[in-house]
Amino acid sequence: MPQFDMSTAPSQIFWLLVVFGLLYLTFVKVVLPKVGGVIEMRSNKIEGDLARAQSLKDEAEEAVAAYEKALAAARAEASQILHEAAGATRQQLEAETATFEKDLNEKVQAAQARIAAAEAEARSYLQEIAVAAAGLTTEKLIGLVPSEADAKAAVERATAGAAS
Amino acid sequence: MASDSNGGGIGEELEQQVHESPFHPMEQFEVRQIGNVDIFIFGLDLSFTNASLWMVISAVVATGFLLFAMRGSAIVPTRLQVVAEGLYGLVASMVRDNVGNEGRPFFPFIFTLFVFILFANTLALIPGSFAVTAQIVVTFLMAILIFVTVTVIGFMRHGWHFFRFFFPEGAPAWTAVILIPIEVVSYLSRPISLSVRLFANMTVGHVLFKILAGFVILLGVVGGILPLAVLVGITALELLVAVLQAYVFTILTCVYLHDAIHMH
Amino acid sequence: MKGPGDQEDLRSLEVRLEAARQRHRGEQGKPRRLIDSNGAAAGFRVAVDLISGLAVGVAIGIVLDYWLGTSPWCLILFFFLGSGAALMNVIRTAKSLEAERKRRLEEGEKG
Repeated sequence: MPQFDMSTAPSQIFWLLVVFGLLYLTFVKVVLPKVGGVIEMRSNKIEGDLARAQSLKDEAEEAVAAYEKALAAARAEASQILHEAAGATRQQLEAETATFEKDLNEKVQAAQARIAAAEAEARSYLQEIAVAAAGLTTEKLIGLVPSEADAKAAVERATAGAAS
Repeated sequence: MASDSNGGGIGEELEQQVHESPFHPMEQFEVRQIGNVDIFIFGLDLSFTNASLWMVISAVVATGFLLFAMRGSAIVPTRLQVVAEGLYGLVASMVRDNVGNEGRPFFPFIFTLFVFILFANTLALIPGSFAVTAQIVVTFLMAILIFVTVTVIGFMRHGWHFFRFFFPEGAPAWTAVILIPIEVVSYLSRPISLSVRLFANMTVGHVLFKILAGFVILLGVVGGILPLAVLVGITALELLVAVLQAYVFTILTCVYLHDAIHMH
Repeated sequence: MKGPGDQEDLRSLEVRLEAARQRHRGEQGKPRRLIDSNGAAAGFRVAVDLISGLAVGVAIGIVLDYWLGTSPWCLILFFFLGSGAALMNVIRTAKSLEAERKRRLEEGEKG
């Protein structure tokens, strides 16, 4: 086996030490910082992105919460306004109804009073007409003209009888 | 390749071909100097060889690949960037899972180790290349450096208490006579097993490769179809082995580091 | 009314956000394990552990014999110690492979 020929060993040892040493220095100074730097940068970037996504999500959640709060407030206000408006309308309505009814009642009473007066008047005219008619009828039937007082009494008797 | 001469069996001829040709399965592991520049320091021959060349190529390709893959440094990674970051993440989780937080300072070293072995292993699959990690000197040097470093870390962290590592807690005192030497030998065998595992895996794979490739070329296209099919299968397997062995080497380094820092 | 729909959208957003966060956390913490311990590789690992323990034992024995001139007693002693170490190595490797296998099974169940 040529590998066990030790005459070339010093050269191999020397060159291995030199090459490996230089390779090590190159890696430490140039290559490793580059590779490690990229990996770290990516890791940081991903972490940063994740953090940003998280904060954006939090913001969105806050916005949604605020929106919902505003919505609830608006809804409450609207129902409040609606309620108030309905109350006012009802009050006004009631008041108007009340005055209207009162007015109406008054008018009805006045009309009734007028009707009663008219009836009484009509009745008193009726009696006079009946007395006159009784006088005239008697004269035609028997040729006698009764006194006004007799006729009146007779009419009263007749109406009382009719009435009873 | 004529079969009319000598009357020798085809097997014999094949064997001869295999030995003479550049397809000799062991030849690929020979370390040869490149160029005429001899480098001697303190009487040691440190000349640039094919082994050195492929170490340099592995390092350059690894660095080039990572830098090319990361050229955009995009937040949303390209496909190559995913691979590069995957290597980083793989080693990071290896260190985190096996060593814990104390392992962080060693991450650059372990990453370099993993990437270097990974690229040396996989580049060695290219025909005509040289398998750096099929050299016992290379794997043993890495293993022994890790072993010494880890042992030093153990003593620095725990002082003389680190010797307790060699005696299982709760065992009867008299068993120390047997258990401690066994544990010491077991501990000392770590760099051997670490280096031999990688070395043997890569060597066996490449010998297999070379023999099959030799068959393919010797038997021609028609006769070589079966070996060619096998070769393709072996290539896939060897690619898996290349990745797996880099992973195992690295993860065992993490385990040893864990033992030194936490003592079990 | 749009209200309830918005709430639903937000809730689904919440769910998706949490899922994304979980995924991110998972990506960071999840150990990425890719391979290991197919049969042949595990066998090879055990074999190497066995041989290396024995080899180190024998090597120490030979070196000590050479130093102390006690051949072959240290070799014999350390052959057995090496065998013990090899056994220890194998047990440890088998345990770690088993632990790995279990962990993978658990992960598989979870995933």
